[in-house]
Amino acid sequence: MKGVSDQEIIESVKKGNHSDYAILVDRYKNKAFSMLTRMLKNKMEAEEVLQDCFLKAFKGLNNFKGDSKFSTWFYKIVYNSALSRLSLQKRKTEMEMSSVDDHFNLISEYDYNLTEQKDLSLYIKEMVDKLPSNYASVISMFYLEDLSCEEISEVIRTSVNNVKVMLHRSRSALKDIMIKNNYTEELL
Amino acid sequence: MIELNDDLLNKYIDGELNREMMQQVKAKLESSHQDMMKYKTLLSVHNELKKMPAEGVSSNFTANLMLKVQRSLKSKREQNFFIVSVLSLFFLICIGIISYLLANFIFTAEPDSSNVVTQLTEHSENFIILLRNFFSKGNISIIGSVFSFILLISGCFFYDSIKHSKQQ
Repeated sequence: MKGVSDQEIIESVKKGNHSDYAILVDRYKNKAFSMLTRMLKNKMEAEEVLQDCFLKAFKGLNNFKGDSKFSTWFYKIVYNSALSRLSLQKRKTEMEMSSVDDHFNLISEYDYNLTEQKDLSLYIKEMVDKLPSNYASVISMFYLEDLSCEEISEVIRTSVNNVKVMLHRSRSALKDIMIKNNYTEELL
Repeated sequence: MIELNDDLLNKYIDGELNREMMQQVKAKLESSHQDMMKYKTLLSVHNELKKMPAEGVSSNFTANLMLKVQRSLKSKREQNFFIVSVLSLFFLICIGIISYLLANFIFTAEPDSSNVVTQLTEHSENFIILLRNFFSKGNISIIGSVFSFILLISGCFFYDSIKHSKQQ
């Protein structure tokens, strides 16, 4: 089923082959789950929200005209659902405090200082999990879902420049922490 | 010589700089150990993020979801069935009334009657009188009550079916 495009699956589902929707679910579930986990910071909640997102997408498939990619359309649902959940939990303050215009410093914000050296990829993953929700979502979409900055800007409804700023700040913050924890010595 | 900052290094990694700037950054990196360290760290962050694996959902996620999808389809069908049933009932009542009136007209019409229009007018007038009597002051409250009761029962069943489907 790897060769079948999203659009072909959607057409099939629209024709009444509802079981084909499982292919789409399998295709996007892990990536969308990663994004939700990083935004909501809770795996159980992320899975619950993801189920709702897939149901919403299924019910809205008839409205999907294919003007944009299915992934962009679907991640828009995922991102908005995560935001709704966050605002429901009154965690929105965190998002507002870490908007693009504010100073964003992961080191001071989380005071993350590892005494023992860890595997680099595990270390990076842990740090990404600690990023503020909107930054983590941008990182997930860019690196995991392979969305372009233009597509991400469409999903989170901001300018392409803002997306780039968020991406650069996240990387710089991770770099600063790596330098602080002497991970650079391994690289040089 | 240019001053290297994170923004410039990020753009260098993403290939967003023009050729001239690229060369300047490259030259600066080659001349400064400190900047090279910064660059390599940033590049390793970029590469590690690319390799970052996706989190996995629970093993029965798709099965559970497809079950929910099937249930939502079933409840939608049930709702449609309910709406069609109510509309059909209403339609059947209308057909019944029209049939009754037509039958009344056909059976009471005189076989040798030459003027059908006159008879039709008479029957229409009779029907209007019948309707006036039916919706008279005494009956209107009874009809209204019955109609409201039917609406209330239908609404109650409809609400219950939606609630049931949401619970599922």
